[in-house]
Amino acid sequence: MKLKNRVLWWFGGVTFLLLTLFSFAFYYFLNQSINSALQTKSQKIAQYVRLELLPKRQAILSDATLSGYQVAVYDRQATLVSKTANYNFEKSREYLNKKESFFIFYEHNDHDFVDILYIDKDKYYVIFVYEKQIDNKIDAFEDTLLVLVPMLLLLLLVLASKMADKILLPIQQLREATQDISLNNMNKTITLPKEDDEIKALVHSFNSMTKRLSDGVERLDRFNSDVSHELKTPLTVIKGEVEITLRKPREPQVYQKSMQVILNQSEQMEQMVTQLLLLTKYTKENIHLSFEPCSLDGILIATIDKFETALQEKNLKLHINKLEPITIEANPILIESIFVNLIDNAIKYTPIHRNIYISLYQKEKVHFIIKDEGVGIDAKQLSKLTDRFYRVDTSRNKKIKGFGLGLSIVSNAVMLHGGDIKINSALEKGTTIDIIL
Amino acid sequence: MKILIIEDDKHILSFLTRGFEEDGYIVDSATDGVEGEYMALIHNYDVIILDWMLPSKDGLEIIKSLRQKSISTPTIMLSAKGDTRDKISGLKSGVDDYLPKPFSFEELLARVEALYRRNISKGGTSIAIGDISIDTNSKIVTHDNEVVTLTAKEYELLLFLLKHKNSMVSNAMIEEQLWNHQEYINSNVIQVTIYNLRKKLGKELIKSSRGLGYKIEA
Repeated sequence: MKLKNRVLWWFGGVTFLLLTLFSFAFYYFLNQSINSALQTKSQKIAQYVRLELLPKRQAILSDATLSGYQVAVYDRQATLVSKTANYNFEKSREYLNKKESFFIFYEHNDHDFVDILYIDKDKYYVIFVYEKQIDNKIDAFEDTLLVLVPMLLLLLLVLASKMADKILLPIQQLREATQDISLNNMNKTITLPKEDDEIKALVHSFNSMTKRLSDGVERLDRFNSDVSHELKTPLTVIKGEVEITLRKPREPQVYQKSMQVILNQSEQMEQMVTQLLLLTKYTKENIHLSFEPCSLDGILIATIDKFETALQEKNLKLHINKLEPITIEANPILIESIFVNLIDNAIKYTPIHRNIYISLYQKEKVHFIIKDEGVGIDAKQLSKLTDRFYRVDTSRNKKIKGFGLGLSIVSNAVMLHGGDIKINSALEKGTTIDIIL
Repeated sequence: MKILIIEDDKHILSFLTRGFEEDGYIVDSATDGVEGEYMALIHNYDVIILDWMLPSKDGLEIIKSLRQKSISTPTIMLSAKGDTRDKISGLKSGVDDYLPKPFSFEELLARVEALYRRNISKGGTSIAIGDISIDTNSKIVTHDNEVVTLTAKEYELLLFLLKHKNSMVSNAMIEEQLWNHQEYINSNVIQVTIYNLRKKLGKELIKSSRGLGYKIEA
């Protein structure tokens, strides 16, 4: 159901209920007040009849005050003393047995009646006052209400509908504006309304949500294109290599060489898929299940050993400034991935014959600091460093191997361990990375 | 036919070079943008195969700068970017064809041949001159309706002379066109090839002028 219709239904229902309640209450109290006025009046008439008219006996019949009433007077022994000419009441005998005065309203043949029994204080005389048709004003009022309530309800609904239209107009505009936004033009924003109200706040939130979404989509796009690019290159090699080799029969060495190329390319693809899995396998929710006591210094030493050849090839010196024995609850695979990727990067980006410095120590928190004398990173690019597949050299320089996943793996691993990364870098001077766990 | 491949992935470059060379192409290659552009500027190639993402200067910049310098060598771009958007921006930058990676070598070959044909015979697959006709698709040459068997170099030389018909082609031009720039050749080789062509297709076809070079007159 449309919001407007829902609002109207609710409004109509509540209004109807209130109007009905109000009418009934009004009717009831009006009736009550009329009745009590009638009671007072009847009592006065009864007294008047007893005190003024009875001594004169025949005067009852002709007294003007009594026109419209049926009146009868009985004495103590229930003998009729006097009555008006129109008096004709079957319940007289029954009423004469009552011991106290009463006042009773009832409906008979669509007419309202009131019977009054008035017992005089010395109980000498009993007086009956019988009135036909109390008042038709109240009936008229009843009819008026029956017509007025629906009319009033209709009028209110029409007004409410107009009002709802007016209130919902900005929402309608918002709806139309949002229809123009699709995945492809996420950058589009909705114009803020002039009125400083909830709608403006809504539009504002909406715009900032679109902005965040579009950033996300952009990152995802970039990630997708990077993944596909990185996978397509080895695929191209494998496909081309096979195609060329199969063009005609060849010497066994040619096949061997071809197979070797294919194997290398497949390994490269495998490595990338593994790295991608490492990025997505653990989340903040499930990481704790994989925690176990890890000797950080042990993992670090083992990792450094793996890089011995790479260090020798570039004639780099790796200095261990500080190495404290530290054991913490952590995921050993991710911890190793932090060390591997940071040392690997330091080696890749440091020119030959230079130094790399490493420290691992605990001062309140655990610090792993790696400092190189490499090419350094431009301050402008620092914030993008941990983006997946981000490489400072946009040509995806093949001279330095890698997918650009290293730092995002590090950043992801540190984030999952609730840690922090500080990167300080100066172009041509080197980079210092401080991992705080 | 002489082509230039500018591709930074050494494995892709390797199989491309092998494939084209097996088909009788003369292949020059560069693994760096700036180097590739320089080669395209100073040498005369029939087709350039250009990768998009390259170190020091990317494929788009290279083709733009080449076209600005009026180098109109037919160029086919290879790229891992397979989006329609990417293809469009590639084609708009001035390349003649676009092939997304991973591609089939046979398709690349067919496209390179098509580009070459477009340049030399305005898209047709056969060239006729006098009583000689050449089917560039099947590489079959007929003389007086009889099939003549030519070596790869003879065929390339014939095509090259036809491409520049009515104008003099120097020894240096032939050398550059038919051999890649790392090979050293003996100037006798060109003379021998011309001699063989004349023997197979008739003496009148190729005119020579001492010290200037050779030409085919239409």
